[in-house]
Amino acid sequence: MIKPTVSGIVMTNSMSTSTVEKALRRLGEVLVYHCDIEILIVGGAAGMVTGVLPATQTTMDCDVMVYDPPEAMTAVESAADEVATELALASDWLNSNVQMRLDALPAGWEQRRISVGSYGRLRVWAASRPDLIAMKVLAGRDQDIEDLQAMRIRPDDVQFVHEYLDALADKGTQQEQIDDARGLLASLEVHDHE
Amino acid sequence: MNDGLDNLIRRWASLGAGFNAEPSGKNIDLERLLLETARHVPDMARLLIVPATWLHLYGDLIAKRRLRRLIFDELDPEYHAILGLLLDTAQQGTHPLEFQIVIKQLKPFEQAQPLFESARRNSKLAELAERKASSLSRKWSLWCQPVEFKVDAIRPASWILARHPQLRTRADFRGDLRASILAALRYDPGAGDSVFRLAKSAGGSRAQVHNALRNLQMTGRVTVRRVEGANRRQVSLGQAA
Repeated sequence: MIKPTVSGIVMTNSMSTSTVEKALRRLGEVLVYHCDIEILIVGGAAGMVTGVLPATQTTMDCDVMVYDPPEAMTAVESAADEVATELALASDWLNSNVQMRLDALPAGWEQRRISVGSYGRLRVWAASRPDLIAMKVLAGRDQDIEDLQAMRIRPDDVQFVHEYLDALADKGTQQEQIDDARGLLASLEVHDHE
Repeated sequence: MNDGLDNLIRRWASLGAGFNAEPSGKNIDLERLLLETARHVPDMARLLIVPATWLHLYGDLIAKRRLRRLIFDELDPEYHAILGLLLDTAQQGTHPLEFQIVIKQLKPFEQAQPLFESARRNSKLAELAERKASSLSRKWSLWCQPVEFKVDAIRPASWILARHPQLRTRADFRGDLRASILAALRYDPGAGDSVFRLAKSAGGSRAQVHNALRNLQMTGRVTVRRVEGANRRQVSLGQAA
């Protein structure tokens, strides 16, 4: 089982090894590249591998928002194709569609990201809980609302998302989407404890 | 998560729907699985999105006439609109519309409301759900946002059919009455006691079932024998089923 770490501390969760975790491990094994690669996963898969979302509530696709170096994207996607065939996954189980919304990634995410594991030349990171919460509030789809309720947001999360939404206006995000996100945030029950 | 929902997700995972759950179930009654899914959709948005995507891709595997019959025999009317929305979502972009034979029998919910419990419990979220509701969900009076198919979370047909070889025949028949007959014989106790009972279970007329049985008998998928001392014929699954 992958044991995510943040700031060098091992985080444990009670999940059995999921298909996503097996696939990421295999991805690192089959990936061929001339230097080390880091990727940042977001969305339900990130929530699942870091234990902030129940596994059965998520799906086995993997959204990659950041590649470092960016030129490695093609090599990673090509290796993912190979893994898809081997493990009988959907051909785009690992996809980079969310890169179109790179602006939605909260500032300072690098300091908060959580290490999922290193496999060969591939190091996998997951977006942190507050970053996932912020992006889910912005996305605001029905499944995001359920995830937010499952994550039991706290007052400090609300503060974080408010600051995030303030900053988004300067990044060119549509005001209507920001207003919708504020409306959703105001609708969510806030808990004293996670 | 409750055991019923957990078990449901594990069966969907066994069918290649990409939930992060340990797959369970080898001989899954697909039509009853859909009824159970409809009962649980309000608990979990991904139970609309992922099964709708699966049905969009693999709707040929569903025995439509049997599904239609089961809906009226076994599904509480309060869930009819939910199943209608699920099937209607799944058939978007299919030609001809894959589930129309089933959907045309279903009615929208009596009073419009949010589809998901998460919004039903919270008046602000309910308002949001109404404002962002898709036209398809408004048609069924169950507000939810537009569904984007999640094809990146569905396993390929080869994986599904290797795990569930009995579905291969359904795929060949594209879910027609023959598929309903085979499913009824497999899953509905007593369905093969007579052609009359089989017609009722499979959701066809006796004439239609007689006609379909001729084809299924010819290919060894069913055997039909006259019951001694009774004016009826017994039907059972053949070796090739």
